Amino acid sequence: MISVENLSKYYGEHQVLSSLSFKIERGEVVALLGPNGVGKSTLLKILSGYLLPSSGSLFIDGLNLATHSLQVRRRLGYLPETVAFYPEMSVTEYLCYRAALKKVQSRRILEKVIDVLDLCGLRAVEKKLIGTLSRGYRQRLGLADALVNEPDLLLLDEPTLGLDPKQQKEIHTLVKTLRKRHTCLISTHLLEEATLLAHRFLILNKGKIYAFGSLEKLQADFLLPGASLEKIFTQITEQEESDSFS
Amino acid sequence: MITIWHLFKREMTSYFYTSLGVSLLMLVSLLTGFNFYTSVSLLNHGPSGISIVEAFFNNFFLSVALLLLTPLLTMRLLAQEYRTGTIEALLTAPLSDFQIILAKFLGAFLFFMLLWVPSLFYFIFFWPSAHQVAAAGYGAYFGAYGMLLLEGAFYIAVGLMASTMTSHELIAATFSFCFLLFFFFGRRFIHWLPSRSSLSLFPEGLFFPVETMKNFSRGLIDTRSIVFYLTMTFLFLFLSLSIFQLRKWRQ
Repeated sequence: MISVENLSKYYGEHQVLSSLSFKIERGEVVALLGPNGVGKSTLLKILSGYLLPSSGSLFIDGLNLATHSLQVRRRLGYLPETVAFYPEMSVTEYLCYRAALKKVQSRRILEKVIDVLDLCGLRAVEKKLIGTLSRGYRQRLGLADALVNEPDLLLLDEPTLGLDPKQQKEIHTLVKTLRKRHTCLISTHLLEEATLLAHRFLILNKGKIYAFGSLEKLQADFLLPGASLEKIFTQITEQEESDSFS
Repeated sequence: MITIWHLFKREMTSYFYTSLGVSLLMLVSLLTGFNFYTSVSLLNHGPSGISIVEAFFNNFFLSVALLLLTPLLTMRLLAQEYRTGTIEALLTAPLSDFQIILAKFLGAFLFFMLLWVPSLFYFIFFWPSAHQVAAAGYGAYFGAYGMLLLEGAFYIAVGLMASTMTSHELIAATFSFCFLLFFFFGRRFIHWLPSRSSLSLFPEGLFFPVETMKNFSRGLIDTRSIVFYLTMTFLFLFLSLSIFQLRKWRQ
């Protein structure tokens, strides 16, 4: 589904991502982990087509993002870390607009919008102006926007950021429902969330892939049988810190 | 095409969602109303060789109003999307850069056209109330409104380019205002050029807003001016597209 080859990204002189190569199969849920500022959001922005990589290539469903950008963007749904909306539009109006932009057939737009309103629990606020919505509802709206074109690939950047535990739980339940139908790449700094939702874990550190695999594979690779993801992650980051210190 | 329509519709309606659109409509109605009143008052003083259409369109007041209004109309086109972050949603949707730029331009241009609709009624009601025609022929109406739209398209393309360059609406408005001001007073600069300079040979009546409007509002339609304004509009749309793409590359 996703194939990334030698992907690098520079912001000016500063290298954010360094020669990343990995593959994600169809139907998989992969959690993107790593300390703050390690390039998780940058990677998702590149995959979504918002940012261009400095070098390397990226294929989604066999299509090169550089040469078939429009076709690739039709197949994906993206929830950015900070979702921005038009506050003067109502929830339904916004989703209809987004569905039209994402080239959902005109006669199916309303049906699709009703589907995502139900799926994301937005029925209660469907006629409200976006500017009046709470943080939790805005996050759901961002998710509904990502889903309205029935994408094959979902890119979720910190989907529970700033939500209270109840809202987090609701989003977790929603993502669990979605993972049956979509390939998902979820960026998170919450390890419990990652364990709960993902099949495999891609751990980034200093712009490079530090580890990639299922929990069992990570336990085997780092000689920590039966360890939790949190323990493995702590060990990796501590080891990396001591390596760079020495 | 359908995608451009949806983007255009959103752009067009966004003027009515905010106070900016309504304020501009009110302001233009007030300005044109005042301009029409002063034009009629001027012609009331005695016989004159000019028609009411010419007096209305061919005055400094209307040109300055255009200069001030179009930067306000265009300042938020892309600068606001950059500032609020909604540009991310636009750029991750399956839309080409050309579609985004064209829809933004068309949305602003249609709203610009709407701004001048009330002025049509002044001329419609002039004949029954004054028992005089507002212009000698239809050519003057077509010429004056045609030139207004051509000038408007060019000014909007400049404003769109300015809005593409920055994330701050006020900077975009200031930039486009300064650029248009420079163009507006271009005739003065040409007089300063050495007489042998190729620029000084430009027939000024063809390009500069006040001079072209003077001819067009008399019904003297010169295709060279039309070609000039259309070319400038396309040039600035192309520049807007290039800057938009450059910003993407530089991110």
